[in-house]
Amino acid sequence: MSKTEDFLEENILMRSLATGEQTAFQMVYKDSFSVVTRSLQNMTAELFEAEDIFHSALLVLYEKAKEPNFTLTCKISTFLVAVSRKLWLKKLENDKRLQQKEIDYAQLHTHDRANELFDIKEINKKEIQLKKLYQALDELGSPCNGLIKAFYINGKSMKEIATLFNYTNADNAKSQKHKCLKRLKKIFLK
Amino acid sequence: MDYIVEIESYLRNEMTEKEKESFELLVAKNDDLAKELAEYKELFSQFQHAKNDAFVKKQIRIIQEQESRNTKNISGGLRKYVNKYWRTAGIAATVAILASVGTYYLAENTFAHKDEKRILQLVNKEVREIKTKQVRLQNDINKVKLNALPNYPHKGSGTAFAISNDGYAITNLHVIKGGKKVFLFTKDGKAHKCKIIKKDVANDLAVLKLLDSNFTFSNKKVPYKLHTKAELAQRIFTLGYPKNEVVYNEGYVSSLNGKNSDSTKFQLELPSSPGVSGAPVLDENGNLIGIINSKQSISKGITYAIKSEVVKQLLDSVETTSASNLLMPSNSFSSKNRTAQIKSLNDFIFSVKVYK
Repeated sequence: MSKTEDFLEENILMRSLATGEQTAFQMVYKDSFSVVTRSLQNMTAELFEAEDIFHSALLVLYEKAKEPNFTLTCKISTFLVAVSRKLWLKKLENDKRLQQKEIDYAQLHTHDRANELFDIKEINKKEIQLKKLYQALDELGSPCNGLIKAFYINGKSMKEIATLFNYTNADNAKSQKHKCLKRLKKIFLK
Repeated sequence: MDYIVEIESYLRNEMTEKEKESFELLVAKNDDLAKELAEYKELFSQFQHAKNDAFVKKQIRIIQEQESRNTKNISGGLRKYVNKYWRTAGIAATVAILASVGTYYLAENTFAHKDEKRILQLVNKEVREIKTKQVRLQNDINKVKLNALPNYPHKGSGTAFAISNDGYAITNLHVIKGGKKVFLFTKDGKAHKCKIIKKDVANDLAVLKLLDSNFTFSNKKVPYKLHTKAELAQRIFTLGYPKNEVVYNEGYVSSLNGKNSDSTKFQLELPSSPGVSGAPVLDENGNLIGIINSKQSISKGITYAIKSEVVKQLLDSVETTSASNLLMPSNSFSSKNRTAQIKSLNDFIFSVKVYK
């Protein structure tokens, strides 16, 4: 039996998130921010670390919301807490800060239904890829990295970019951007 | 032949159905092109992810800015303290008057036949003494109340350091973010309540001022001076509060820019932990060349620091009653050895704790 109906409101909110509505983000933040950060602080996280993890978890939620076939079968805050805990445990593992009793603690409080909704390995892979992209952009140097970021990440138009980066016209900026893109691909795939 | 233009408009879904069809046909026949397309597809999916990441970050920032605008400023809280203090003072004054009236009756009985003037003088003297004591007591009560720590656990912590001797300090904004009450702890462990007088969201900095306006950190001047240039490979050291005690650390400048070529920061080879956010980065001569910003750190050895130019810009914009005191070039310890330097530094470096 589907549990979808129980979480109808949550799924409506998810659809508003997908379209990027600010009020939807506000509602999610109000419901979940302190729940998530408090639960991470109970697992030895500092507040600013918990805030970082909250951001990562919200990113996961946002991308899930944009997936056409995704349906939430738990509360949004439960989902965010579940993702955050996994992300934080991974970070502790990476930093070698994890202690046995903390693992036990985390396993005692798993959210089974929420955990079925995401694949932590996939999320981690995405995080690593994102880091790799930023490193590649770093290596690319200026002005290429600025050009690429402005167009592909910040969604600025070529016209805006031409003025911003002092190109005579949008076409010039575009051909320069293509050159940059080729170089970036080489660095990224290295 | 170069297909970059086609690849891009295909991946960005900007082709008409017809163009799409013929391009897909071309890809089917050309293995090299197919491979290239796949590679760009991967890159573009990363762009999308980065775009989502930036969008979510922006949403959170907007919400948090709205929240901080809605919270009442600290002066409201101070007024509450003053009101309480007046009530205490009122009771104390009543006691004082009763006491002096008591003295008056006592005096009248004892010195019933002496000069009334002399009796009045006695009463007056006593009242004056009580009044002085009273004021002293009130000041003490006021100070204790002013700096009273909440009885619930703090929300976040970090390091701050003095930028002038008369109660101004600087720290990372993220250290105090989300908290309503900010306290500095001097090396003797005493708590001092602060107000935030300047925030620099872009550079993650905040200027604090102790509420107790008579307090000075030390009887000496701030020993370090603001130095604007960090050099590559330069040796540096830092003092911070990753735990309840002050911890010393040293390292070197490993890059002149921060993460993602951020020109407002530089990179240090220095072990850091969360609590040292806001700690000063000092060169061999004790010049201030930056502020630790460990929030940006990606791995254990690498720490980022905010450049002193950025700090200077912020300090220049702060209007203070002692503007001229803010990091006056009075480097008094360049000639001392490290242990002596640390000793004189210790008065000016604090642990910061925030409470909701």
